[in-house]
Amino acid sequence: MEFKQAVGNRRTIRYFKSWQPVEPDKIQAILEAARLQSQHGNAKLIRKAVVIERGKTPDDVRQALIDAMYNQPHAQQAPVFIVWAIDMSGWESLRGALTELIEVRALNSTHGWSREFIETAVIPNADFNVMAGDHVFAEWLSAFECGLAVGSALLAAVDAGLGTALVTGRRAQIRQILDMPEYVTPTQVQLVGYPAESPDAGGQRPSPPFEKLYFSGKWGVPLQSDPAVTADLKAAGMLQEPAPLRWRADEIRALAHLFGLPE
Amino acid sequence: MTEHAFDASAAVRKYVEDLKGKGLSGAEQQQRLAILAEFCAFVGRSPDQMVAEIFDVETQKYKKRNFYSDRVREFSARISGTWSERTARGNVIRGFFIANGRRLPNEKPDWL
Repeated sequence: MEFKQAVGNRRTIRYFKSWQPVEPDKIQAILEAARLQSQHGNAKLIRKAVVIERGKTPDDVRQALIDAMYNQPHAQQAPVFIVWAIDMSGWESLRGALTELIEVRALNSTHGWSREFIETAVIPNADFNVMAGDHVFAEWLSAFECGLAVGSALLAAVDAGLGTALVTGRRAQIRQILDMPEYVTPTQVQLVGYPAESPDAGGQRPSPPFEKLYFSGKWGVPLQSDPAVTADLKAAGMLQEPAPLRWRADEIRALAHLFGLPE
Repeated sequence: MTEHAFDASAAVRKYVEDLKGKGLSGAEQQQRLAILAEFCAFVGRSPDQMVAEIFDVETQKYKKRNFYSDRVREFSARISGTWSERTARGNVIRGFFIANGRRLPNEKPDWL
């Protein structure tokens, strides 16, 4: 699938075919897309995940997680959960990760990088070695970095023809169910499966206008979108028909009937 | 509870607004309101009482969720019919609570 089409097709899917398992190669591709995403200092050991698969993971674990996700219907239906987590101990790998980047010629002297520079300028600097400074910032940055990986994982799921969604849950309960140590924080749970609703899920969700989000030169000065580019993005499938599509209410009624859910 | 009091109930009015927003026909709305009225008689409470007692606004926690969940299940089982038909009857009550900001656990089909 083309990148623009994958971005345009992504939705939070709330009805899954519980009866159709997800192929292992597709799960692996989703995780690889996350593993390869950009990461501050290449300290990728801070973002990890536990994969739960219907029929493979013990059912009591899966059921306990569904309960921790407030028993939401899409959690009950999805055959795969990817429980994304932040492992703060992963920041200990920062020095080694940077050194490795020098060794593979990703960080070069053209930009002032050397082993000595890492030791004397980077590691003592709390803007870069975030664990050396304010831990609130370290946690904020960790969440940001984990989110980057999850963003890729969402698009990889769409690329594989799957439906996906992020749901929240009771984090303390999730940590306990999955035996996560105290320095690990479960973040969002990514549900994965084949959509029971149409893949466009009733149309593209509302988003604020481009000009309200992006500024030119100074905060508050709207950056104008170009109508010609907008037309190109529509043609490429990134910008799609907005929700609700006219048959959506009927689709929801049919899905409610299928799953025994209130309308 | 009189028919007038039922229709005037704040919780019922919210439910009616919700049904209208979903594009249900007048007949479908009336059918659901009749099921709701039947359930109120079944549990001996008004719609407003049900909404008030299921959730503690101060603690932000459910109080009588299990009670209502069990009653809805019993209420559904009172009619003969398929699982879907019985569940649909209970889902009218679940829908009423949802329109009033409260959620009861859903029934899961055997195959899920």
